Amino acid sequence: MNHKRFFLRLIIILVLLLAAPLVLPKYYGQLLTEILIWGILAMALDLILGYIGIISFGHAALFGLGAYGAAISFVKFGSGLWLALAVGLLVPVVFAIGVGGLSLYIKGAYFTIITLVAAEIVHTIFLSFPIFGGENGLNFDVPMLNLGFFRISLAEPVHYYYFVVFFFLLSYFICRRITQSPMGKVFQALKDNEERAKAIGYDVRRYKIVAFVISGFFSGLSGILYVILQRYANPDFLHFIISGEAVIWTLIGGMGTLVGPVIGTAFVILLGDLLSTWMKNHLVVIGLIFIIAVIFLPKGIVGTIRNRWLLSKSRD
Amino acid sequence: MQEILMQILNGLVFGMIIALVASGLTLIFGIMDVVNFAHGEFYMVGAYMGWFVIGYTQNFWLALIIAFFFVGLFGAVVEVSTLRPIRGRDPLYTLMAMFGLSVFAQQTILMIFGPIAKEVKEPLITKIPLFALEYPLYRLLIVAIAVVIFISFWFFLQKTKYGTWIRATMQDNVMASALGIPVRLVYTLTFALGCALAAASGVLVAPIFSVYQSMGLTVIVTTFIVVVIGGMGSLLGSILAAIMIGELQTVSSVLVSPTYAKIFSFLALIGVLLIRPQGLFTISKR
Repeated sequence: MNHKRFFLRLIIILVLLLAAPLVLPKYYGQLLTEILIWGILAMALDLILGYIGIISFGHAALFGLGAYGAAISFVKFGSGLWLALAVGLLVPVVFAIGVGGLSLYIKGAYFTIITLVAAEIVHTIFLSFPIFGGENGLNFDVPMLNLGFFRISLAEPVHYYYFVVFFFLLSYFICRRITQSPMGKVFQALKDNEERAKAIGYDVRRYKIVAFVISGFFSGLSGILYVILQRYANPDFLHFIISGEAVIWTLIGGMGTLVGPVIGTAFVILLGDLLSTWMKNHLVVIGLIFIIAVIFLPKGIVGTIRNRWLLSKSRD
Repeated sequence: MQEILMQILNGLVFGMIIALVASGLTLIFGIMDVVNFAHGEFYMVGAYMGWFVIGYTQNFWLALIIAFFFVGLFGAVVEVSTLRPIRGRDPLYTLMAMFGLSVFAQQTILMIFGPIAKEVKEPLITKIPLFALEYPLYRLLIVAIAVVIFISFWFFLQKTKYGTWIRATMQDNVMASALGIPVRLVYTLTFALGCALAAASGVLVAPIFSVYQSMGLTVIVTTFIVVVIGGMGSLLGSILAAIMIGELQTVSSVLVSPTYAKIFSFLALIGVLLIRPQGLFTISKR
């Protein structure tokens, strides 16, 4: 893709994102904020699922640790926004280093299993230890955004929306930069042929850990943004279903495309919103769509469209 | 003291239940190289099946047999419809397909039976004196049934034609196929058998724990710990590790707390990963 095209698209998306709260009804504005936050989680998962080709079923732990990290700094230490952000990013990163270091030197299946088990343990700990608020979780007031010369209240949904848009775009550009860097090329080499990458001399384990830690960083960011939106941290933020949904969003949108997972997130959340007017368990339908997508559309929405486009271009 | 003895026995019962689930999981992994993420769901569906049949017939043992065969059949259908089309692709996709199945199965059960947990009565209410305490006969029977299943399973693998096919496929599926073994049938059969074993343990456990739609997730986490500790693909390893983890969790639940019981088994997992990542009970091939 040439630069001109990319910038044209970027400007369109930027205008749409900035104009959205002016046009959309309040409910959908709220939904869009959530989609962008979950979109960061999906992008983070895509870094390892789509680019390295290893699957984590423990991203809820990274997400939830970010959320709890921020919530605990608000509640227990009365800290401001920036410190909470730092704590919320540090905790999942440390967790990712530990889990990745332990499990990424054996077969991929082990990594998947250990991420799941570790996340379940974290969930149990936060559910049952009273310092973390147990089942009720932790409640706090929305902090002020202090930019030095002026302060903005994040309790106002529109303000918070723009706050999220900023972090969403920042995350997207950093992730995009990473995937296009020499390191990102090594990630893709690991996905295509791990043995060969090893034979060439790349330290496979180290690259995998680095990718997992970066993924943990952005998952934590997503958790922090979510916890401030909700104004409480709850053990549900660490529940397996979040890890699972992140995998669903990423695959349906298109693994290894970075934009795809965000589109997948939007698709699944909007579909769930639509279905929930008719049925209580919209996950039945989404589960079924997911299985069908795994078998017939493994490249997801964006991957499939991109392939078609490349094919039609090569025919010309 | 008596309480601890009681818990040691409970740990054995729990360990046997996990061993039944884990042996199916490890068999499927060993032969098909598939981490069956939905394995807990077959256990859950088995338990619901059992509850349902007992409600109609009042016959526990009939329910056990029906659940075994019904879920086995279900497993075969899943293998043919979902796993067969994606065989040969990256293991990533089989994992995800099974995860999708797990979401689908759980939500479907939730939709049909609702969120309220179901209770199943113990088929035997007799208690027998054992080491100075009264122990429910039914729980001892679970251990006996599990042992019988393992022994017949061993005979099946070692002495029958199908068992030989399974072992041959496990060693080298390309060679097995070249020698005329219907490898695709072996895959389906293995998957069905593993699922049926999970279902059987789901029914057996139903009177002790209650039956609820997320029970599969609870059991799969423990089972994963067990198969990693025992060594993925090793049957005997899984059984031994299951008893170990069963004892560890049950005894420490009472001595400390259920939360710490989970933490301890996780620490055991980490320990094994650090010292013997290939599993405690596997003999290294190379």
